[in-house]
Amino acid sequence: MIQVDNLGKKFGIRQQSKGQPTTEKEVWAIRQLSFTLPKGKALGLIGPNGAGKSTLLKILAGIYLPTCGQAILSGQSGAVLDIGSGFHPDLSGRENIKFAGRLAGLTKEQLEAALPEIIAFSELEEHLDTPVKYYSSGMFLRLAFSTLIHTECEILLFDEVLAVGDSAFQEKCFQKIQSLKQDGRTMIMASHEPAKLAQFCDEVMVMANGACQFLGPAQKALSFYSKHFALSPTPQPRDSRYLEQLTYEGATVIGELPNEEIAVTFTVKLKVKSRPLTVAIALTDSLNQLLFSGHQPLVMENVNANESMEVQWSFPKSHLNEGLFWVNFYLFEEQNIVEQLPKVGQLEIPPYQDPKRNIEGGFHAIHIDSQIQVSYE
Amino acid sequence: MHIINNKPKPFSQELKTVWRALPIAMVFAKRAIRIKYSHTALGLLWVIVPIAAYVVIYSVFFSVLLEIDTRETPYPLIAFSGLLGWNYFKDIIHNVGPSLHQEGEYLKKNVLPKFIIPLYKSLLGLVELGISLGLFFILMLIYREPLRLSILILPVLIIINQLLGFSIGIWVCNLSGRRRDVVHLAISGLNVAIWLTPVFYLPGLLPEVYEPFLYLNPMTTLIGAYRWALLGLSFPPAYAWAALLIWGVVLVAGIRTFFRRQYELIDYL
Repeated sequence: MIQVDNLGKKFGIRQQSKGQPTTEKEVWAIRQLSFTLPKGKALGLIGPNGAGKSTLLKILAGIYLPTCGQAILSGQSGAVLDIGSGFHPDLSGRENIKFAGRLAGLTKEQLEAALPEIIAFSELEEHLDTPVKYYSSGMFLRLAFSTLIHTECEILLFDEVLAVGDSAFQEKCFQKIQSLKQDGRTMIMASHEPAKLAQFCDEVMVMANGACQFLGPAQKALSFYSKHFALSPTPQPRDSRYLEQLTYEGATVIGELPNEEIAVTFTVKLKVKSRPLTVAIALTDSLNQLLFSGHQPLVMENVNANESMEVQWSFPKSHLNEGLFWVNFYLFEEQNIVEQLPKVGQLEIPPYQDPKRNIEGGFHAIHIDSQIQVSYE
Repeated sequence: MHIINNKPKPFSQELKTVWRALPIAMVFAKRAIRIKYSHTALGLLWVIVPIAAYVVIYSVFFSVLLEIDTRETPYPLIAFSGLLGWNYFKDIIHNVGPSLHQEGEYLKKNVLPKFIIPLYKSLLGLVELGISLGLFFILMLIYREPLRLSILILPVLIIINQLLGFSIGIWVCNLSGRRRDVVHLAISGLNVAIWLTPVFYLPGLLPEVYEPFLYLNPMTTLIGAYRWALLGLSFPPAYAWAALLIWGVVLVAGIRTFFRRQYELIDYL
């Protein structure tokens, strides 16, 4: 269990410039942060650079002292805050595991007992006697992660580290993290990859300028994040060979319940008219994962260069759950993408009246009418 | 249950945390020693080279050229016995003083009691001291110097040596927060202090009136004790030992200050 109460951390940063007296600037890296994370849950931290994610983790790890407020931890905390910072390049993998294990609180005997398991999990048997300076960053992660999860630490903190493993190892980490959570270990991880956090975390906190902007179920928090902090919609095509101008006119709801449709409208000006082009519009969810798309070959005889035409894409609204979506625009020439404008438009679906739909909204983006039949004997 | 806030923890609790982490300090020290000599062909032999060079150079200067009177004890043994304690003392200050800066990146990324860093750094000189002692016994054998029973006190002297070095080293560490001038001051100071300490000479070299001042320097007392234990020279006077007690106060105050300032020091790194 982690209980954070009005936590704040102030740094005095010296400004040095030639010929001027040094001045000191006070920066609050974290301000008025409060949250409670129950035992066995994982919290994700996301936010732009300098949001205070690492500072928060370092305070919880006991590296920095908070300026005000307090945090109550139910047990010892262990952290992987950087890839390989605790390892010495000249020592072998085995020696580094032993060192890291002792540092994380294992006794000599416990370490001897856990060593085979750590080595097996890291899948680094062949390289164990190689100095770690020859390791790749993925191998560092395996070593650090394997060691930490085999310690008794009740609270695990990860900073940007899970991203470097390959997909097989990440899958393994995912499985392991699930079982660690069931064992009652509490986790906090910071990442810039919303998809990772969505996979690993129960709750996500969106941070900016040291303060909590949003704290809630992973999907909702990540929608919030992509709405407010992710890349703003791509403006105009630059140096394009095909497109003169592209304007996202917005999305409107047409028709009546229950057959409401969403119509997404673009105004497009093309530069060329001779080539056989196909317009494609795709919808991605708040994590920018592709959901579905529509394609329409253009009738090139009707296209006039540098004259606007309206492109409208419509689909049933009921298939989208509540949340945030991105509209992406593509041009194809035969099978090849010749123009792509990701995230040109944003689409927000408000909560539905039906409570069943809102449960879904916290987990996935697409809704398809389906039935679960339960037969009671 | 573990509470993190900005209230200072009681001294006893800090000490307990360090005590629990003591095995880690040993692991750190072992690792550091292995790393230091891991990429050399001669390994630990490199410890001997500077000491042997010192002993030869100062023997030539003091006993051959300046003809210093060391009574019946051969001069190289006098110089070497002085260097034993002094080198360990100097190593501790050199290692402990800048330790937080050197390990700053490590401290900012890893979870451990910060006191472990200066503590393990202070132990690194032990290897060199051990090897030097071995070399010293060989030299004693060459000069047919008898082994005395008083040699059994040696572990106690080494502990005093360790605490004395640490009491100054930890203050250098404490005072070198935002500005690191103190580290440079300490290193330059040591170069001067070696001449104010009877390392290459005996206290009797100075006129007798100055002797009490010489014993204000704790290293004079300690080196005197080393020479008493190893070579059977006179035992340092009682008032010198009383003066040594002051350093116990300096040590405790240094450790307390470290515990109070440790997080502030980290912010500067």
